[in-house]
Amino acid sequence: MRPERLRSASFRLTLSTAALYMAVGWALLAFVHFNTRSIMENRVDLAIEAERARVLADLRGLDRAGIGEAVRVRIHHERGSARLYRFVIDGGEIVDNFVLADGRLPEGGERSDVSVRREPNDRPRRARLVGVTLPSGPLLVLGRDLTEEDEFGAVMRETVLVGGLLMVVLAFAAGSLTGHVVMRRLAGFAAAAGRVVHGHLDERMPIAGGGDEFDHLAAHLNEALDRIEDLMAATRHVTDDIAHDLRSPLSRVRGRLEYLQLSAPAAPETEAALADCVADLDQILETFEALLSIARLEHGVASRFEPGEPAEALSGLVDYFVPTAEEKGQTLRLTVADGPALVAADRNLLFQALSNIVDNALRHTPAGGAIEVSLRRDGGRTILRIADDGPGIREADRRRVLRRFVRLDESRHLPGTGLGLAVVDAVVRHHGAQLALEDADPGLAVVVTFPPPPEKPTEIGT
Amino acid sequence: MRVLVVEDDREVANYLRLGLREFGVVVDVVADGRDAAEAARDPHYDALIVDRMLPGLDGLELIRRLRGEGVTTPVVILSALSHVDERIRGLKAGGDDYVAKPYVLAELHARLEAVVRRRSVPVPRTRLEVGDLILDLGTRSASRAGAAVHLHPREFMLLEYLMRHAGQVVTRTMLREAVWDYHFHPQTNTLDVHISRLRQKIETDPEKPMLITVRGAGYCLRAP
Repeated sequence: MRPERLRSASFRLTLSTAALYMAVGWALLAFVHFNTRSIMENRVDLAIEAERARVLADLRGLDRAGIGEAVRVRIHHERGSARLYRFVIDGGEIVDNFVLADGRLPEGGERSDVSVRREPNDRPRRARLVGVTLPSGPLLVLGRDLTEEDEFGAVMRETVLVGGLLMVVLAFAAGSLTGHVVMRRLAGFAAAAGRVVHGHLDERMPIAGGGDEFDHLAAHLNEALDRIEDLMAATRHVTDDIAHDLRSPLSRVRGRLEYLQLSAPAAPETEAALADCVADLDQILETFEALLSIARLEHGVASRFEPGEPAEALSGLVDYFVPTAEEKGQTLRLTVADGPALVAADRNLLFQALSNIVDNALRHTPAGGAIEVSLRRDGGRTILRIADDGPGIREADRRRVLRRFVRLDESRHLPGTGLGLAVVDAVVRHHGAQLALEDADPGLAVVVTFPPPPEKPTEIGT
Repeated sequence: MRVLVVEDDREVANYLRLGLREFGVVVDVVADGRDAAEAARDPHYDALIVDRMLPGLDGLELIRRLRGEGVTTPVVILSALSHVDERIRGLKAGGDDYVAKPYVLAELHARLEAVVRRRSVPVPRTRLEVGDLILDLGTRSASRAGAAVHLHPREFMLLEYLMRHAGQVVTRTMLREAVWDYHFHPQTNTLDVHISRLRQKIETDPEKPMLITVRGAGYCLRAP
C-alpha cells in the first residue's frame, strides 16, 4: 500500500473504527467463554460432590467385599455415563470403569485432574477424580469423565473464533463504509476546489441537502467563494473597462498625431517626437487590444472551431520566424511526427498563440541557441511543443508568468507587454486544450495538448 | 480619389475627412443609412467607407442592398467589431475589405487604395513588371535587369503582392494577411526582417531603391 494511502484520514478512520468494533466484540466473546468455563467446572465439582454424598450413604455399614460388589453394581448401572469409579477389594482386585492414562490417583480428600481411558484401546480423555476415604478405612475414587464438557468447550472456542472473524470482517466493512461516506464528501470538496484553482471561479462546493456538518461547511466555503468571485470580477472589470474606454480617445489622439505628421512639414526634432508619440501609443493600444482579446476569450465569445491540421499553422509559423532566428544566429526547426494530426481550433487564434510562444522563445534564447517546434500525436491527443535552450523559467515562476502583466526580472529589459503568455493561456483554455511549461533541460518547453477533435465542427461559447 | 464615408459619429467622420485629405482623397460624409443608399448610387465615387452600426439602416444591410441594385463601387467596412467572424460576415455581405476601429489612418488609406486598384485591374496576369523587375507567375521565377533572382516561396508571395500593389503603400497587416493568411497581432516586427532580405535580393543600386519603407505605414514598391 502506498504511504499516502496509509496517511489518509479515511484509512485511519476505517482502521480505528474496525479496531474498536473488534476489541468490543472480542471482549464480549471472551467474557462469555470464561464464564461458561467456570460455570461448567463448578457443575462438575458439584456433581462429584453429590455423587460422593450418595455413595457414602449407600455404602454405609457394608464391609469391603460388600462395597466392592456395590461399586460393581453401580458401574454396571452407570454404563455410558460420565461417572467414574475405582475401588480395591481385598486381595488386590480392582473394581473400576477406567484406566489411568496419565496423572496420579488422588489420595483420600484429594482432587486431581488426570487423563483416563474408558476402554483399553480408547483415546485418553480428561477426567477429574476425587479420593474418598470410606468410614471403614479403604479408599474409593470417584470421578467424572470431562468429554462432554470438553466437547462443549470446543464448540465454544469455535464459536468465538468464527464470531471473532465475522467481527473482523464486519468491523472492516463498517469502517470502510464510514470512511467512504466521509471521503466521498471530502472528494467532492477537493474536486470543486481544484476547479476553482483552475480558474472556474463560478464553481461551488457540493451541498448534499441533508443539512449535516458537511453541508454547513460547504455553505461557509461557498460564501467565501462568492466573495472571491465578486472581487475578482470587480478587478477584472476595472482593467477591461479601462482598456475599452481609453481605446477610443487614445486612437483619436493617434489620429491627430498622424494627421500632424502628414499635414505640416516640421523640424526634424518635431517629426521624431511625433513618431515616438505614435510608437508609444501603438504600444499602449496593442496592450489594450491584448487585454480585450483575453477578456473576450474568457467571456466565452463564440468562435468557429474547424477541424484543421496544426502542421499547416506550424509550418507558416516557422516560415514567418526563420529569418528573425537566422538574424540572431539561432536555429528554428519544425519536426512533424506521426502523420497528419487534426484539431478543432480557431485557426487565427491558434496562430496568434503559437506566434506568441515562438516570439518569446526567440527573444529569450541567446545567439547560437536552438528552438525546436514539434508536433506529435498520442492516442487521440495532439501535442504541440516549442522548446528552446535558453535560460528557461524557474519552476516557482511557471504558473505566475501566465498571469497578466507578469514579467520576470530577467526579461524586464526586453520589449513586450507582459501579456503574451496570458493571451496564450486564454486561447488554450478557450480551446479546451492544456498548456504546460516544462523544463527542456536546458531551456523552456511550452507544451500545448489538444484533446481529440469532435466529429463535427462545433460552436463553442455563447 | 473620391470617397463616400457613411458614419454617424460626427467626430470620427471629421477626422476621416481631414486625414484622408492629406492623402489626396476627397471625402463626402453621410450620417444615415437610408441617405447613404441614395448617395452611394452616384457612380463618381471610387469607393465607400461604411460603418457597421448606423442609424436607419445597418451597414451590412446597406451593402447587401447596394450590391443587389448592381452598385459595384468597392466598399471598405469600418467597424468596432473586430472579431474575425465579424470580418467574414462583412466580406460575405459584399464588402471588399474590413478595417477594425480603432483604425490607423495609413492602414485605412492603404486598404482603400488596394480595393480601388483591384477594381481597375481585375484581370489576372501571368507576368508582373515594375521597372526592370520581372515576376513570372507561370514559371514562378523572378529577375532584375535580366539577372535571375532566387526567392524562397514566401519571398515570392511577398514580392508578388508588393508588385500587384506597385506604387501603393502596403501595410504590414495587409502583407501578413495576404502571404500568411492569418489574422494575428505579432509581438515584434518580424515582417521587417523578411522585407530586408527581399530588399537585398532585388535591389541593385542603394542610391535608387525600389522597396521603400514608409514610416508609420508600411512599404511601397515602385520603379526607381
